[in-house]
Amino acid sequence: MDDQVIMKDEEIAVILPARGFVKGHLIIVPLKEYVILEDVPDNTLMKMFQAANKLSAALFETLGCTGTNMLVQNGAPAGQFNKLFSINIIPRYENDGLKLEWETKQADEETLNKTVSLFQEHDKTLREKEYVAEQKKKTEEKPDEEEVEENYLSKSIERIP
Amino acid sequence: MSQPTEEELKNMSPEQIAELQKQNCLFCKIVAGEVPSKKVYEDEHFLGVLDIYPANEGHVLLMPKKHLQVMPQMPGELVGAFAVACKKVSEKLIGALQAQGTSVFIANGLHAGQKAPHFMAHVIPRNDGDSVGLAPGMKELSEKDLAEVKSKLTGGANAKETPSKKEGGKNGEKSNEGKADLDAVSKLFG
Repeated sequence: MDDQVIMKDEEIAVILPARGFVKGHLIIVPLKEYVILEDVPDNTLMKMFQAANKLSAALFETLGCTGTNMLVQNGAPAGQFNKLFSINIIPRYENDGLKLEWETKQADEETLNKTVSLFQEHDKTLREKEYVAEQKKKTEEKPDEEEVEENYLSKSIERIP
Repeated sequence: MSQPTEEELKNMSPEQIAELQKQNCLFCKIVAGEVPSKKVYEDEHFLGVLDIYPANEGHVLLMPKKHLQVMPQMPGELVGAFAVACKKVSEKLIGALQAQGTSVFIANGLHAGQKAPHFMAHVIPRNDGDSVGLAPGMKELSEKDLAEVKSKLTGGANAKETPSKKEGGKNGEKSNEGKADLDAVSKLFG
């Protein structure tokens, strides 16, 4: 059997895959091709999440499942099986045997703090880049003002005996 | 605050029980700053903290500041804002920790693996060869099952508008171009 499009509008589509995790597995895709989560424009992503949410509720009502998962496998290491970005919706039942869990280990304080620092450093770098970009934009927008100021200054300097 | 007796619980209204749950909710206390946490993301509506029992280093729990149990309880606009927050946290994991990828995992309900009564997304950094999983095996689904699901969701053979439209979004298309839709979309799956 082929994958089937069961719902669609001008921006996104809902696929019923012929090969999936379980019966009821749905996949939401944008019609434009994006590879990873970070490529997807905010508006499209918002719409996809909203559709995913409604579909989860629909699965709950129509299939009688007792839970649902939403899963984004962003990148090959995360198990991304589609070449392009998509959101998986999965109906769940008690003891359904589906393995969607991970082993946990208690993190130590030092490692946690180190990770927080890495986030903070990254945020700082981003803010600095944004600031530089903003300043550059301002400079490009007002060359005349600077020129005038410069002329005034150079004239003042010339006047010094 | 003393806990109600079993008798008192039986006589409570759903609203009262929800309020009680909120008062006892560990994550509401984290949001309120009453319980310490390792914050890595915050905006008007959401808070991201490091999981102290992580799948791996950098595992973030992204939650609404408002107490909600499962995603279907979230109003559409908040769901949209949540989508953008998930993307931002994922970007940060890649930028700050050089993660090669991320998993975004949401569990609605106990049988889906929901561990806390406060709704959240797990945003987990992923690297080649890590043991996090979240990639169940795929199997051929039976024609009968596929037909049943399709019929239940669409109430008929024709594809209808996407669910988000029901909130008053743009017009959906009719599925008379069924084959063209399938062709266009199957390309997306390689």
